[in-house]
Amino acid sequence: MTRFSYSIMGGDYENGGSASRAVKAQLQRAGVDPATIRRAMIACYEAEMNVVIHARQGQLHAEIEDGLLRVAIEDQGPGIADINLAMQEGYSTADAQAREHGFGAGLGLPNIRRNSEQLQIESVVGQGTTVTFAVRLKSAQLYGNVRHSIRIDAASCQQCHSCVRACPTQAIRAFHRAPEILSYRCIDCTECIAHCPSQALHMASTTWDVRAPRTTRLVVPPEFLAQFYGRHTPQQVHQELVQMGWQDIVLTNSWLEALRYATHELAEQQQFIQPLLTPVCPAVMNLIAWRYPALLAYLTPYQTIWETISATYSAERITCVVMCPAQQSLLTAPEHSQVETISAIDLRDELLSRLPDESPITSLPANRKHTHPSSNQELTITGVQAVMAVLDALECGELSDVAMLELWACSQGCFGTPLALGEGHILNYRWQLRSQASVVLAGVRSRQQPLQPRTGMRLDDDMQQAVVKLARIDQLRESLPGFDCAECGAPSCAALAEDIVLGRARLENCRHQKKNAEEHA
Amino acid sequence: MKLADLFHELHIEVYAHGHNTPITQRQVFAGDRISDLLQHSSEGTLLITNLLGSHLLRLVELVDVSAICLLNRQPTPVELLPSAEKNRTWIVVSPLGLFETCGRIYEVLQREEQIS
Repeated sequence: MTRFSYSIMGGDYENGGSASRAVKAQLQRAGVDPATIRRAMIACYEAEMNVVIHARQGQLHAEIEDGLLRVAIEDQGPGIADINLAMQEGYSTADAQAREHGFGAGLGLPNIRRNSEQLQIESVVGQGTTVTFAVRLKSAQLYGNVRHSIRIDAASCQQCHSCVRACPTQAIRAFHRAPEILSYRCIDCTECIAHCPSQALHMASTTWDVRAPRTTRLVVPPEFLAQFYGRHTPQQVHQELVQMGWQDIVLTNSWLEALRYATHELAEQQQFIQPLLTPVCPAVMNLIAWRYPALLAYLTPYQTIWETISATYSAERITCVVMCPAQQSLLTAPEHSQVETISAIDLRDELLSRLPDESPITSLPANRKHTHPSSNQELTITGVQAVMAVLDALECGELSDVAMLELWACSQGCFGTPLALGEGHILNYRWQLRSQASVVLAGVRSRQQPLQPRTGMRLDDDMQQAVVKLARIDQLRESLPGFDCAECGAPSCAALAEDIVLGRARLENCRHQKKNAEEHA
Repeated sequence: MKLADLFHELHIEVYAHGHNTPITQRQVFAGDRISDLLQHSSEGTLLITNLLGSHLLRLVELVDVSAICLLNRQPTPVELLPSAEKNRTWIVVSPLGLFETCGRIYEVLQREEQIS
């Protein structure tokens, strides 16, 4: 159990909300999901401001236990004469000063009731009031809190369930009008985006605004530039980026080659468990942390290139072009707050509107060798299904003849992201044609803490209940047809059974089951 | 329509940048009571308000709204901006009053929704 208390001063409008802010920090530390935190904050802040507005002083006591946030706010104030009246929307006894500050709408207690459970108010006129309430933190407690950067536009969804079928980690459900993402399962790969015929799934918005560039350094992956090379010269693209306000254009391949080089050095030393997994693709790292936690030991102790780039430029604001949701999630984490991100699509569209329609292709460099030492024991795999097959093999100890593994979730690595314009193999070919003969290696950065396994899903906090639910899932799965057709909105019959037991779906969602029931009736 | 485009079209001055998310009419709320604003705040919401002061800072810190639009060219409270940048919340100032700002935003988003 976690317990904490904070003092609240009556009349202190400047600091009103500080106790709620402290509670929020505790909830974030506990890994509670943002929507639940928002509800808890509305309830806490309303209750705290009631003390500021009406009382001389008060205390906020909070505790987190059994998946519940319990809050008690007691004050030494005038008390409430008629609690039923105070609970009515629009009724307020706030004074003129409170109204000047924007309070006194008569919505404080109703807002607490709306956003919490078990609301109780005890009050003695002339002595004070105690407000207690609870906010259920169940979902975050059970599933963990995982940020992902895939968003769904409900209005565009054609309900074809392609995303449900395509997701390699079975993270998508479509029981309602639009699909939902189970964040604890999502690894931020791009399979759902690639398979959606109506572009209802997309990457979360980035922070970039074309009219107000706020950085002078742009970090660009080669995969982004390769999109233009069929029609425009590298010089033209560079020139336009400079025109848009970036004086320094930095390519990420210097960091990637450095990471490969450092991994190769480690492999040569033969002091580490092999094959060494190079941390090149954040989506694959998410996959390993979620589904293959035993394989985390194979990851080289280096940060991804994005983390290293952020650390390299920690003293200045930089802008990074992101090619996928996994990169976006990584770079929008609080520790990279100086990094602005631009979606590859947004920047590409802007560039295409500025570049001339067609241009001649310039001559190509003749010598195109890689800078890192080559080894015949390196294996590069691209495409998430193939990556999972290789990780399965690695788990079974079948890759003892491989020294280094480089795994990319998208086909052809980032060249194959659905956020790029063009086919991945072609973009990769064009980049290889135009890339420099040698690359100056940037640095690598050691990972301070090893990557941790993701919190898996638990059926229930109570182990006895979890066992009961597990038995119920098995029973339900037996009764379902086993077609794994995904028409119900779950990716498989086993997933539907689990969803039914966890309250996310009903048996009637299975159209085959429903038909059988009607025939027998 | 994305927030940056909306602000640009309406000559709304930007003081802190947030995520450039798409915005629809249903995600815009105007009010001058904190409880009203709290009740309608969620990820993706643009709040329009005459309020100033530390309570706006609390809105940014506590409930993660996407954008707050102040009115009548009011000077932006400086203590608001670092927190807004950290939370990726837009802080913008409209040259117009509440009624007129709402009307213009409605007009632009309505036109946009009809086109799409």
